[in-house]
Amino acid sequence: MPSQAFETVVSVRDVHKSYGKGQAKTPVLRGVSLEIQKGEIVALIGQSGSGKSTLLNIIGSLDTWESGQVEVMGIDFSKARETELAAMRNEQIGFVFQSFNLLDHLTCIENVVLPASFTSMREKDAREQGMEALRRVGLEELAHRPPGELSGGQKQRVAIARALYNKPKLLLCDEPTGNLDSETGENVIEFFGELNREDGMTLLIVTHEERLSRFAERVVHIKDGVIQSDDASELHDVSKEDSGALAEENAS
Amino acid sequence: MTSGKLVKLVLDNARRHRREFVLSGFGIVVGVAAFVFFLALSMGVRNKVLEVFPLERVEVIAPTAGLAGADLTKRMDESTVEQIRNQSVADVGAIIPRMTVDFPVALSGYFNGDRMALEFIGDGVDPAYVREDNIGEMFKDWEADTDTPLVDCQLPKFSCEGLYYCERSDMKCHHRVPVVVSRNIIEVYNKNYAKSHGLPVIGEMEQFIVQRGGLSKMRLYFDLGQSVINMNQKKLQSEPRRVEGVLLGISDRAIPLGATIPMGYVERWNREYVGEESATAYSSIIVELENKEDVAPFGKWLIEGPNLRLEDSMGERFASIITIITLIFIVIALVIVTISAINIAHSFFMQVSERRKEIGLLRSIGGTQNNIRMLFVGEAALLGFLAGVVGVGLGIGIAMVGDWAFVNYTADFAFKPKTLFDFQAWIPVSGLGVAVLFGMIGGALPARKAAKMQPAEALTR
Ligand SMILES: Nc1ncnc2c1ncn2[C@@H]1O[C@H](COP(=O)(O)OP(=O)(O)O)[C@@H](O)[C@H]1O
Ligand SMILES: [Mg+2]
Repeated sequence: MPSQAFETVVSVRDVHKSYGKGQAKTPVLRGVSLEIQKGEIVALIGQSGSGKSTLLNIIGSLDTWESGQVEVMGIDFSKARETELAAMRNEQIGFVFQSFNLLDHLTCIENVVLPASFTSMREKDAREQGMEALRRVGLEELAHRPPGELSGGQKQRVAIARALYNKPKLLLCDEPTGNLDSETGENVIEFFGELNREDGMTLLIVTHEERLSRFAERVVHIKDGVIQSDDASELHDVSKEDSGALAEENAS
Repeated sequence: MTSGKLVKLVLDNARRHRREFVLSGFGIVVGVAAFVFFLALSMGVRNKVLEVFPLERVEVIAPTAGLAGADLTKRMDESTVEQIRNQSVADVGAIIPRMTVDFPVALSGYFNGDRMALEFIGDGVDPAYVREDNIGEMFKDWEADTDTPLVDCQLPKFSCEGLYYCERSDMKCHHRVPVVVSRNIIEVYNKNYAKSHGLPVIGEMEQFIVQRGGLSKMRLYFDLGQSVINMNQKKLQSEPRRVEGVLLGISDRAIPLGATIPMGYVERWNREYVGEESATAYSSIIVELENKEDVAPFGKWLIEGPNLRLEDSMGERFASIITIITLIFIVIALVIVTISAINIAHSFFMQVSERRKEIGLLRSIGGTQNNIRMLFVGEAALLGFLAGVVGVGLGIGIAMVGDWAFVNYTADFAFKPKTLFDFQAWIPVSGLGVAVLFGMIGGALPARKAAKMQPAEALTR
């Protein structure tokens, strides 16, 4: 039972989703339930096609589902208006994608300040805030370069700066190190840890990388659209120190 | 999202998709160029026509003879003028009865030493009406003044002082009959007659008069009872005689293609050569309406009330032909921009597919469906606007080339305008409006598709 000290950021209850119709209908999520508290780092792992991205997107209000309940930061998705969800994505949630999703026709700083396009923030303030975000990922000197000239790791840091632009409470990352070599991947992972420690940011990271899952406090396994194991359910018994070992065990 | 930020995003994308922009905007350019070109052309031609034949100046005539040969011609006289003045369907300004000479009159004069004779097509009007048009006090019925005794002609040369001539029937000096002509007849003289006869062209009337040593030198001769065209006319009540005239100047109130003199002369001549009947009936009544819109109700009133008709207005006839031709061309222009809108839609649908990831990303960082829609509609509107600017420029450019060719490569003719086009401000503005509108129509469905896209799905592929 979560005590009063916990603040629930994500609450998914018995969510079902499938693609296709009639005969071709294939279930992707089959009754998934997940609760994430403020300040947690959760690694979501599972084989390719197990429904990780689908679940992440549903939590990020980017995808629809058929039944069950989804509530993020107090907003019940089934009742929220489209603009409300968009505002939430703008201010409270940051997304980091495997393929970065930077717009090549813009400079790095322009990519970073894109979220400000959907607010009434003044251009100058927006830039300043964008530079701050780039400084945070250590790329301020590349601000005016197009992302095409950057290395993979640098691109992902620009994408992270964009995700951090409005200082979100929740960071949703879909295989953020999937396109990076192990060393740069390591740096990115360390940076996530820093965000969690220093800013109290809640992170949900989809990965099949050993290192990442080891680093997470809590590992959730998903298989064929069903949660196989979740450290949270064992929180009563297992101490925090042991969770890493357990994750390692589960991942293997 | 503020409009400023929308514009920035739109401009960024436009810069990125220059090639697609140029290709899909081409049809709009052509369509809008055609649109403004034909509108300006028709406005130009229409203005010129209405300048020559003003719509609000109508001519009232009596219905012509019936089929059975019975003379149904209704007489128009002073009571008709009163009726028109007192009707209430239209605001009328001047009402000007005209009386034509009912028997042949040949008009001749010396132009540059050549004697020119024409059948006198002309009529008499109330002199006060023409005097309003900057024609001086000399335009009046000099014969009406019976108190001043006439001077005898000086023999043996039958000469008289100044603008008087010797009338052989009574051997007295009579003032010459004052004549005014319309600007149009000068045009016809200049462009058609002078050219084919190798005569000098009249620039300003003043110049013309000065060249010939003043007004008194501008002698005209009315040969009453004689025809240039037809020699054996119906029997006249009087023998032919010659009356001298003087050209006073140009008046917009003179009949368009003929000469105009004070009505008193026409009355007397008709009485002398045809009879009393002819001296009291008006041939037509010019009515100047205050509003063009009153022409139709006034025409209706004429038929239902005094059983009179409106002479078909040349201006009206030309204007409606021009309107029809204009409409045809505008439809063609609109078909071109419609095809172009379809072309834009096609191009934008491809863009939407190509930019799925971008659309998904924008949604993930807080873009609403409406933001995405506005982004694509905005790009289409910008495309339309830019194509519209080029199209309007192209239309004006083609018009300038057309004007230049028209002025330099077509023969001079009467009323030939200096320009065929009239680019009133509303024409380029509506050209731009059409361009933006059709751009947006083309972009509407693709924008809708982009907005409705599921963000998760957009991001995955
Ligand atoms: N848009 C879609 N249409 C049809 N099937 C889809 C679509 N997106 C995902 N799927 C299917 O759903 C399943 C789960 O996909 P996903 O959540 O992306 O898995 P993971 O991220 O764990 O690899 C896969 O079998 C995939 O083929
Ligand atoms: Mg995936």
